[in-house]
Amino acid sequence: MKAVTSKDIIGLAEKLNSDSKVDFENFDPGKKILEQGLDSLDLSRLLFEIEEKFQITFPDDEFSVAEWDTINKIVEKVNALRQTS
Amino acid sequence: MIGIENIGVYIPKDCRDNFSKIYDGEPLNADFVKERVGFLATARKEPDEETSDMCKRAFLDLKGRVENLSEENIECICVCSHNGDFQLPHTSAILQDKLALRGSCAAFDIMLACSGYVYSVNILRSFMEMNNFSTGILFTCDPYSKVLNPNDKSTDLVLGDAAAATLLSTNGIFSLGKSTFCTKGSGYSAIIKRKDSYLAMDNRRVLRFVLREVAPIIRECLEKNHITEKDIDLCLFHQASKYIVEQLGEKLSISPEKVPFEAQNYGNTISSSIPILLQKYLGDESVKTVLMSSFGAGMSAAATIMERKS
Repeated sequence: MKAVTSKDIIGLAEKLNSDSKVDFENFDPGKKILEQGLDSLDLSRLLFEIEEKFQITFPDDEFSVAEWDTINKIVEKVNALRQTS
Repeated sequence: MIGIENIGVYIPKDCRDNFSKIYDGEPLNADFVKERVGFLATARKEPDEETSDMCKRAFLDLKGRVENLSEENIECICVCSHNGDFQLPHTSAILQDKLALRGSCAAFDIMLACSGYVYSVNILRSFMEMNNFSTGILFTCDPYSKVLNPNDKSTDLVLGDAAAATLLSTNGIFSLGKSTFCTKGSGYSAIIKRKDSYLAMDNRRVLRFVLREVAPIIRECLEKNHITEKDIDLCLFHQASKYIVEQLGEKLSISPEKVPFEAQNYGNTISSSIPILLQKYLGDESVKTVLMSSFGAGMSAAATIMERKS
């Protein structure tokens, strides 16, 4: 199974927010998502689309927007979940 | 056949400005509140105002709208709420007394939260038809200010107190079609009020439920009623937040002008959000086919279609 990359996730975020002014070309996967123009609702929607696209479910008891605050952290979690599912 | 004839509404005058609220010592992002959450203010009942008092005020508004609505003729009432006057007895019994309804009036409560309106309309209509009743009133009133933490922005910024009184009768202007339902009890903790604690709401999980579970039952409802999105004049979605209403409309590819969000000035009023909105369109003859979907704690959802009678 091909690993999910930060580029995949940023591409998905861009697709969901195509009408926003966020600079996705220079979106830093190591920097906090909420400091780069997206808000908590965008992040919730992005996580839902990740679940749908990669056929995974983020465990409710593990999930925290405060902890999963960068693209890199999300990518790490997505790949871990895909390996166990 | 029983249908919706009219709706009375009560929204408390105390609508608190969301922009002046401060949580965790930080001011709110005004654009986020206005454009995304969508609630500029949330309504709050008076401290000593009970659920039955709010229902009574909605009833008085209804009485002002319907000629010849007499307490003597009301055969049944139902109160949909999780926040009644007491844990026991049921609020509808107290309301029967406050409204001086006749002794033979049937009165019962339904415990459902934001999904309650579509469910309750179904239940009361069936109850009335089964018993050959011609006049009944569905009260929706769930003042969550009784159980929310004023320092929790995920609920305090969103939830508003209000009541609605929906008159169901043989003179209904809208007839009710077939409904679809959904329950995902595995997600119950997404919106929960545990014993001795405040209401807690996980907005990410709520959004996931709406997009994953509610959208399909709405499509199923359209099929069940043999119509398509194009046949719908108006979509009344539970006014959970501006963002959720917009996202659900987008997911279903329904034109945004058919999907109003009009709860800006009083908040998400739980099971009253749809009837408050519907009241504004009762007299609009261009609105012939209405889709309604209510969803929330449980997790629970329902959808139905209404047709204006010719």
